[in-house]
Parts: sequence; structure tokens; C-alpha cells
Amino acid sequence: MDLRERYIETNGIKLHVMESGPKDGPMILFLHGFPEFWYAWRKQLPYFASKGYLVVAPDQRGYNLSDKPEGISAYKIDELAKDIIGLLDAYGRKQIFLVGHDWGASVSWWVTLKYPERIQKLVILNVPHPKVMAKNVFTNVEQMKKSWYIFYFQLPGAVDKLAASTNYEWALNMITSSANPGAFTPAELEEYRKAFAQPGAFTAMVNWYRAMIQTKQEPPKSFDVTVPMILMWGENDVAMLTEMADKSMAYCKQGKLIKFPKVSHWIQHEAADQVNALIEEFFTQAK
Amino acid sequence: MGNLIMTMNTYKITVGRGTFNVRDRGNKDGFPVVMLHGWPESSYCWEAVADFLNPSLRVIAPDLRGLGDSERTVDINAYQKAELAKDIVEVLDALQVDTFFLVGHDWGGIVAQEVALLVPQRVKKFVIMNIPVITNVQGSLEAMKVTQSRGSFFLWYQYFQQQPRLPEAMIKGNEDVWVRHFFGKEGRKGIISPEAIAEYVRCYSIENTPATAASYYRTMRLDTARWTTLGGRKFSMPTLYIYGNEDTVIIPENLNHIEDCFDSIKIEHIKAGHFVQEEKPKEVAALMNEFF
Repeated sequence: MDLRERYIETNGIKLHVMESGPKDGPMILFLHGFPEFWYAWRKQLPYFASKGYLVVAPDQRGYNLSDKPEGISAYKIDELAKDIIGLLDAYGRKQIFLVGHDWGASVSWWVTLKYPERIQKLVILNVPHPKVMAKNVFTNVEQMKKSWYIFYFQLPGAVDKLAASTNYEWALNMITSSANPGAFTPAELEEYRKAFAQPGAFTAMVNWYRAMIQTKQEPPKSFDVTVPMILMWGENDVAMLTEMADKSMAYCKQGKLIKFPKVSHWIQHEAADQVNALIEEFFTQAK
Repeated sequence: MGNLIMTMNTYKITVGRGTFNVRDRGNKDGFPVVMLHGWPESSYCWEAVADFLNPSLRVIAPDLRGLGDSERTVDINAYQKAELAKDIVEVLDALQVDTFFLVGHDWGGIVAQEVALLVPQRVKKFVIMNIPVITNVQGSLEAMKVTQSRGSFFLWYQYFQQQPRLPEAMIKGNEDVWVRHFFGKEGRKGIISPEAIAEYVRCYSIENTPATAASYYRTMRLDTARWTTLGGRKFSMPTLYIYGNEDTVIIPENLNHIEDCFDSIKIEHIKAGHFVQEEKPKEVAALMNEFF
């Protein structure tokens, strides 16, 4: 893979970024989720680079080789969104294509809601609209059975120490046990283990969940998504109920929902060919 | 409770079903009151109440299997509540206790109900505290509806503990934070004594406890399958339900229709949270003294 490695200043911190493709190509920004890092997009970056796009995949704040500011409030979603806007500025781009998965999808929704003028088109993978997410995580009993870990992570030290003491085995297990067989090879999982072991990374990663519950968001003017978007959804997701995907579309004025019946939460890994082709088709459409 | 009088001795007793730790006032001529604690506690939770209970009563408070200082059985089936009830009956047999008053709080309240169904003629009076009544199908449904409309995120710890492997991996080494969390602001303010919480942390730190304690939740599916077959069974002995009415997990709707489940039931509210016997030991003991 022909990747360039960079460190970029944004919003007062430094993000570690991998990029590929022509520097003057249309830019796609890929935002990974928990507990991944830029490597979540290993099956997307070469594909889109070869099609002439400038593809950019940061380690988000707290992850892998990016800065890990102290404290919980450093990880509130408004800060995470500002990191992304700062990245766009650093690249000198007014508008980009944005693709996000899991927590990266939550950030992508938030960036699009707060800075719609900066996003040309949006692709969301397996995360509902923020309004749907908030409502269901707290009130839907069936969803609760899937989101207990969000609340477990609130406990101080909940996973921070333990993650290291077990050499991150359970975190890797959390990935593989929720994925279809073969989605992650043993060699790939070793790359995740290395990223978890970066000093302070696991605490920072879990702080995303703590900030979600323990800090107040600065809401956008409107919760309607006006830019063209696609929501792709692996229906065999152990963390998210599919009904949340359907409910999300009410907020999307130019949205399309595509469901993948047998695919798990790890959609861009398991259905890479299909996902890549659909995204490419979407981005090349005139509107 | 700044100055607890430690009125009870503890000892281990080995019976056919296992080895259990027991707190006992030791006055063998006193009429026995058997008190069963809940999660994440131990029989220590009865110390303060015992201080205020009629001295002529003999308090016997075993630690339930997998908790306190009782044995850490790995086999999950042993934690079905009907099985835990058999543990208690066998311990009482070994102590040559025939008839007794029975008290249960939280999971101990469920085990106590199973004891009361198992040996009803031996349970002369029954006190239940802050736990659903297992034969109360209608009340449980109504409570579930309210919980669903209000949001059930506070039940996360139950789903967490039902996960395979994770409680074992995650709680170990972080027992203090884990146990303390469930005593909330009452724990932080010292309304539930720091000594008590330290004791529960000590017990939870015993090898395998994250697994054995989680077994109480992992067997819930088996338990509820059994309880749905109990519809219409009534508890025959006079019963007092003491409800700490600021409990967020056991809500007032859990008490709806409760009178249909007992031949004789009295309900008393106390302004307290879930751990009512530790928040208001004097009031709880006064109600028990009057009832017994």
C-alpha cells in the first residue's frame, strides 16, 4: 500500500494521519471508530487512491499515534468535530467527502450537522443519527441489552488498567466475537494490539464514552441532515438495533439507506468490495 | 452508623452442598431470624439492623454461595435461586433450626421466597425487602412497562454480568471501583458506612468472585422460566414487605398486585434507597420487632 504518513496540527493537538492518492484529487476523509485506528480503512484507502481520490485517514484524538490530551472533557464530540474541521483547513479544502464508521460515524454526523457547508457528501456506516442514538441508548430495552458497555466504561479505571494487564486480549475478543469469521486476520489483530498499547491510548479511547455521558454537547442549529448522504447498515450488528437505521432516515433530507443482511458491525471489513463500489458510485454521481 | 456494635460471631459450616460462612448472634435459646443478603453484599449488611433487633431473637445470617466468605462454586447451575434456597435449608438443618422467621433483601429476598416455597411450614413469618415477588407476574409486567418508558440504562450492570467472560476479565483488579459504584451517593456521603463497603470490596476481591457474583444474573433466564410456572402459588405465612421507596431499580410498580400473592401481607414504606436496612437500620428493626 502506497501510504504517506503525516502529523497534522489541528484544534490545539497533533493528529497522526495516513494519506494516499493524488494531492490535488477530490478528498475523502475516513473516520474510524472504537476500538480501531486509521487501519480500519486498509481495504478502502488503496481502492479510492487508485481511482484518483486523495484519501486521508487520521488516528482520531486519543488513538494510536495521535495526541492524547488529559481528562474526559477533551473528548466531547464538539472537540472531536473541531479536530476534523481543523484537518480540512490544514489540507486547504473547503469541502470534502466524509466517511465514518462507529464512533467515527458519530463524529461524521456531528461535523455534518454543525458544519454542513464543509461536507459535499456523507457516508455513514452502522451508526444511527445522534437523536436516534440518544433516545434508544437510554430508553430502548432491546438496545440496552446491546449498549451496557457504554455505562460500564463510565466507571473510573473500568478497562484502562485491565486492558493492559491482559495484553488487550478481551478487547481483541470484543472485535472478533462480534464479527463474522475471517473479517480480521490474526496478523491484523496484532496491529490493533500495538495501537492499544500506545501509552495512554486505551484510557483516552474509553474517555470518548465517558465524555458522551458526562459532558454536555453544544447542539447544532438543526438536527436535519441536508447534504446528500448514504447510511449503510450491517444488520447482524451486536451493538446496534437495525430499527435505529430506519428511524435515522427521517432526519436525512437527501438520504438513502442500504442494508446488508448478513454483515456485522464491521461492515467495511466484511463487505469491502460492495461498500467500496457503492461509495464510489455515490461520489461520482452529479448530485 | 458511626459506632456499630459487632453483635454477631462468624463461623464456617460445611454441609453436603458446600461450605458456607454464617453470622450468628449465638443465643441458642432465642427464636431464629434467618436473614439473607443480596448483591453485591454479604451478611455484613445485617449488622446494623441486628443491633436494634429484639435481643431475644437469634439472628442467623449466612453468606450466600459465591458471595461473602462462602464458597466460590464455579458451576453456574448452582446459582439458580431454587438451588441457593436448598443451600440455606441444609445449613439450617445442620444448625438444628426447625422453625424460624425469614428475612430477605435483594437477591437474598428472592432466595428467601424460594425457601418459603420449599419449606413453608417452617417459615413462621416472612419479611421481604426491595425485590420483586417472584409469583407477581402482573406487577412485574407493569413495572417493566414503566421501566421501558422511562429508560432502562440503569440496568446495564445486569446485561454486563450476563456477558460471557467479560465480568471476569474486567472487574478483577478494579473491585473497589466496581462495588463502590452501586452504593452511589449514599456510599459517598457515608450514609452506608465506609466499613461496610470496605467489607464488600474485600469479599468481592476473593478469587473468582466476579464470576460467581455474575452467576446470579447469568441464571436469571433459568430462574424466570421456573417462576412463570408458579402463577397462582400463594405464600401462606404472614408477611411484611419493607420498601425503601427511593429505589431506582425496584420501583413502586413492582409492588402492584402484591396482595394477590400472599394470604396475609402488610406493606411498609421507608424513605430510603435500595439498601434500606443499611440506610435506616433503626426504622427497619423497629418494623421487624413489631411484626415478630
